[in-house]
Amino acid sequence: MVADVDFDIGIIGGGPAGSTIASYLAKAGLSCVVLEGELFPRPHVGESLIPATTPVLADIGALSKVDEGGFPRKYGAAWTSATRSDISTMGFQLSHGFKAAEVEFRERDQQGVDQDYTYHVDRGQFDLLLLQHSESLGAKVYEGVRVQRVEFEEDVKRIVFAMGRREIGLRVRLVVDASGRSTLLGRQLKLKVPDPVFNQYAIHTWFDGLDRSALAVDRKQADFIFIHFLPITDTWVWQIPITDSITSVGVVTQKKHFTAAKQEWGPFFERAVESRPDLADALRKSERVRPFKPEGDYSYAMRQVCGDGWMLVGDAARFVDPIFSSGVSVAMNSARIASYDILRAAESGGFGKPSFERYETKLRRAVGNWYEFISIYYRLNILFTAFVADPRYRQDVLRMLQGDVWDGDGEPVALTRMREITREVEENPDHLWHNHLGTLRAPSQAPMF
Amino acid sequence: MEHAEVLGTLTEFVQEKVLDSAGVEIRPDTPLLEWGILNSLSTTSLVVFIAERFGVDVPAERMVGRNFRDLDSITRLVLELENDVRKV
Repeated sequence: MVADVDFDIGIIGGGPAGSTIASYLAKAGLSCVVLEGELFPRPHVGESLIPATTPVLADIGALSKVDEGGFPRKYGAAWTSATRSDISTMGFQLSHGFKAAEVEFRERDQQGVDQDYTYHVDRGQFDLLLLQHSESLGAKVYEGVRVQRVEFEEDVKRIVFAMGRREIGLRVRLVVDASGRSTLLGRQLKLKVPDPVFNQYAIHTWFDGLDRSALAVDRKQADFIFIHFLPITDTWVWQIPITDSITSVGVVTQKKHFTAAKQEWGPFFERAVESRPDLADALRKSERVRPFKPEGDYSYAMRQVCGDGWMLVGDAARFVDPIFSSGVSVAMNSARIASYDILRAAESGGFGKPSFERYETKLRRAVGNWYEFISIYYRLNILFTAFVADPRYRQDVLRMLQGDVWDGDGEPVALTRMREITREVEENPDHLWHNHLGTLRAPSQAPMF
Repeated sequence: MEHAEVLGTLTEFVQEKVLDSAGVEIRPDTPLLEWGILNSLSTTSLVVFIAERFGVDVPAERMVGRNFRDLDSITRLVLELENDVRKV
């Protein structure tokens, strides 16, 4: 009993999650429609990629297009902090010590990755490239079509949107919600659970002519992603190259600081970066070319990520703090893993919830590991730089930073070690790191997160 | 290894790599933490040095003020750790 449908698969959202899953499925011969609310290209936050995106780009045949797309190559990541290392009372001058840390991706081999760099991308251009790619593989793409809801019938799902004054319903066998942070199905089905710990907010914009090496220890690393710790609790700044001259800069902070800003984003942004005078100085010498944009309602999880005839991928399924540039990687890898289950289910003829079990398990484990990594990171605070610099932990931490969390069982070694050490430091007031711990603490028992 | 030998090596490291100045006198009982010569982060570089030079890892639970108060305490820590390694 094959139901009468317009398409096998209806994908809501044409960002990296939607276009990636459309590419996998269309390539395998399923009929797919992608419904995107905006007209591409459109601006989007989340501009720095990690190497775990590379195997997926290669899989769907888009890697060479991206590589030739002129996006800045990202060879590594660097952290800077304002910690004064010259606090001596006896006039001693200390060397620069561990004020900064950096890693290069080439330091660790990663399966499926044959290049020692990933990319920083203008998401307008990158997302357009991927969406067009999925179209070239046979997916039907409609832009400017904003989905309103999904109606669940026995075998068929109706994806409903308005066209002029008419309401249209597309009939599909499986709905993939890739609607990003607008979480269409998550809201409709009331699955969304806000994160009680990571209630961070971000304010970001683009600058032209920023001297990206201003805070780098080594000028050669100017095109890394930079994470600048601010001396304000749990607050940090991203610095991401977009083109030769344009740089994306964002301040991520706790909700209480954000609320206190009373929507005066410009002054808030400036006050925050002023706490790092060298950064503020470099920013003053450059020109802001986009308005300040806030991103709130930060992290969340979903009670369910799949059901009979529907599943959630990418940000529509889960959003965790973006400190490690995980957004596009979670989007593309969740799409990749979901596509395996969908293709198997398509052969057996049904898209019932049990057919997505592998996807659900892998997604929950991977983002669970990410979540733990990020929690410990915030707890370690500036001590993270010491962790990265320590050869005993560096490779394991780098594996996490590469985004290598999707395949393989159990917990990554870095997590276990970081957790042990964090506990040690927390419990011992005489520990040399004790006073440097951050204040964000994930609850010890929160299976949802 | 002898106390004096370890002490000498550590003193040299702190003078040259932490203070950037071989000319400064540091005594075995100079309060390194109290005076900020070693801070919590630069201690990590010392720990890495200890691993490379003496072949012993300082476990996280021993990175406490008591063990890093001065060069004498650090020397005792290194000797203890070397002893532990030999016993195993």
